[in-house]
Amino acid sequence: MMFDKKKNMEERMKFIDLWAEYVRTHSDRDWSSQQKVLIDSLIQSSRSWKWTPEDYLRMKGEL
Amino acid sequence: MQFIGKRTIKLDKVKTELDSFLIDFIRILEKHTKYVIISGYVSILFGRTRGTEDIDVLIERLDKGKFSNLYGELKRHGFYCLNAKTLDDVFGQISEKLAVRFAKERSVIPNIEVKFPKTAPEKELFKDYLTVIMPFGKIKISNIEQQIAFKRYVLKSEKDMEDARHLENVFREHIDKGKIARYRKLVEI
Repeated sequence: MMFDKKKNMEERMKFIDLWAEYVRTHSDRDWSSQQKVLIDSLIQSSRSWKWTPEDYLRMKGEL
Repeated sequence: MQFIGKRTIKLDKVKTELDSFLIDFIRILEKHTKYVIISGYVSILFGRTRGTEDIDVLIERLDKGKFSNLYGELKRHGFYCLNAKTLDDVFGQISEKLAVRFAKERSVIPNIEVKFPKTAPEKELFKDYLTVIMPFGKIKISNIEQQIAFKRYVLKSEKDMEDARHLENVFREHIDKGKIARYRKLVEI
């Protein structure tokens, strides 16, 4: 099965529009509570990677 | 969110770990220089559902003495520079128009990428910024139009195009489209 990049992009953009509408029409507390789950979990999981500054800078292409 | 005049937004958001980290840094930074937060964090601040491991901050140019005071206070509060080891190295790097990254001791993520402004639009941000008041602190961010123009016409990655679209949607009643067009001309040169 071929990956349809164009269709994938359209679907992502549709989600962007729907979520932005949610942000516009709901309280800050409502959308930010949901967003917090994602952001905090990404930061917490990154802590388990045990990267050194050099590893990180290499990954960013800065070393 | 609520606009209070044209340059201030009241945002009653829940604090994330990324916000806590940024606020700790900004409370020190603002004692030493003017700053403006730019790029991905601005989109995330207004609801974009994505993570980031770094936050970009422009600071007004400092001489070595003043930078040394800032660096010393950051170190005393547990921050260190990931990509330079001594004050001379850190100041040398930021003065050479490169970014320096600060994180909390024994971590690399999240981190804050600090740089002096290089271009005219970046310098302009120190006059044309927004103040965002949240329950846990106040921060200064780029105006939204410049963020949209920069992401859409300079950076252009999928992530940046999505950030631009999100900001355009969320702020559609407040955005000055003429201003985006003016920034487009400036940043595309």
